[in-house]
Amino acid sequence: MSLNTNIFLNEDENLGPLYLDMVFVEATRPLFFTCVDCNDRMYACSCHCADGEKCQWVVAPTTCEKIIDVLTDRIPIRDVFNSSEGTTFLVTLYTGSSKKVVEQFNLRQLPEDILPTPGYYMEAEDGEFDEEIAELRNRQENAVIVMHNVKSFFASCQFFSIQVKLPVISLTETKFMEEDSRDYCLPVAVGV
Amino acid sequence: MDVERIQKIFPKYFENFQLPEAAIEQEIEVYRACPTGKIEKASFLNTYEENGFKVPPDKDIDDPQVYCMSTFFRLKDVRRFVILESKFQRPWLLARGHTTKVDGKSCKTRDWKKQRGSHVDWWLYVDAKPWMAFEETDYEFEYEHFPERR
Repeated sequence: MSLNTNIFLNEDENLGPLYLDMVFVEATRPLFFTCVDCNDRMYACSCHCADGEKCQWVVAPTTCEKIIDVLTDRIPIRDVFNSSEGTTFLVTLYTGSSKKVVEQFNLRQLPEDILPTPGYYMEAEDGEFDEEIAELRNRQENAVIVMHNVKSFFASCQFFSIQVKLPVISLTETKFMEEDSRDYCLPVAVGV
Repeated sequence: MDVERIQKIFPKYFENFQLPEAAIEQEIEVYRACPTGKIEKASFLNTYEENGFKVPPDKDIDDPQVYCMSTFFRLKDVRRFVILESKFQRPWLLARGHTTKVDGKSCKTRDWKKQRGSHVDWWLYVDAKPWMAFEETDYEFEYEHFPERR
């Protein structure tokens, strides 16, 4: 679960909660950025409109790979949203309201002009997004691959390096003395 | 009112917030995306006036950036801004110019808050004419002839 506390969207029946992750373009607010949910699933977000009436974002499920592709100019910015595997969302905050409204759409239902202009790339400078790309690749390498078949559910896994905080109990005083942080390297099996 | 006689006063609604200390009268080479497609007053309004004297719902009334005019000192950032903002459709007008001492106070956003990119905040005086310091240009021309501004 993400420890990010910078919340972008509180839990909604359709989506969320979402936490601000990486910002790639900003002006007076983040314009193109990613968010993650409680299961570390990633979403591409674009703020296409912010005026006296509302702020509105296009939010689409995405992957580390797609974000790396857009940051390295392999695909145009718009394609991050075009190629999303799942439903696209419009998140709107209206003036006078404190709660964002989430609507679910098929990408083809959305007006053309609210998506990034087609055919344009990030045209990143050398090294501009090195830090973000390294982080995304690190996430890719540490991802758990979960597969299932018709007959049974199973998971393949990789070894995780995790830190576990354990209470230390004094045998003489029979009380918790302190927390002991240790590094473990454990195989983790995930059942689905 | 000519340049020499612009009074160095801000609009009354500037009482809503405090200017960052980094904001001073200075000249910064910047680009401006013109929402009307022309170099004219209507394309050089501060965001508050552009929004009909309203605060966007994601901002607080005392946020200085509610009242600035947005510009960028890097070409790629103004282009990315236009790609993402739905009010800008092809063709859009790119203007090159600079912040001026007589029209208000300006600073790079990164000088007063944590932010990536090249956004420049420009807080304009009453009766300022910032568009007078800009001229129309072309993205490809700027990209080719001014690599240091990319």
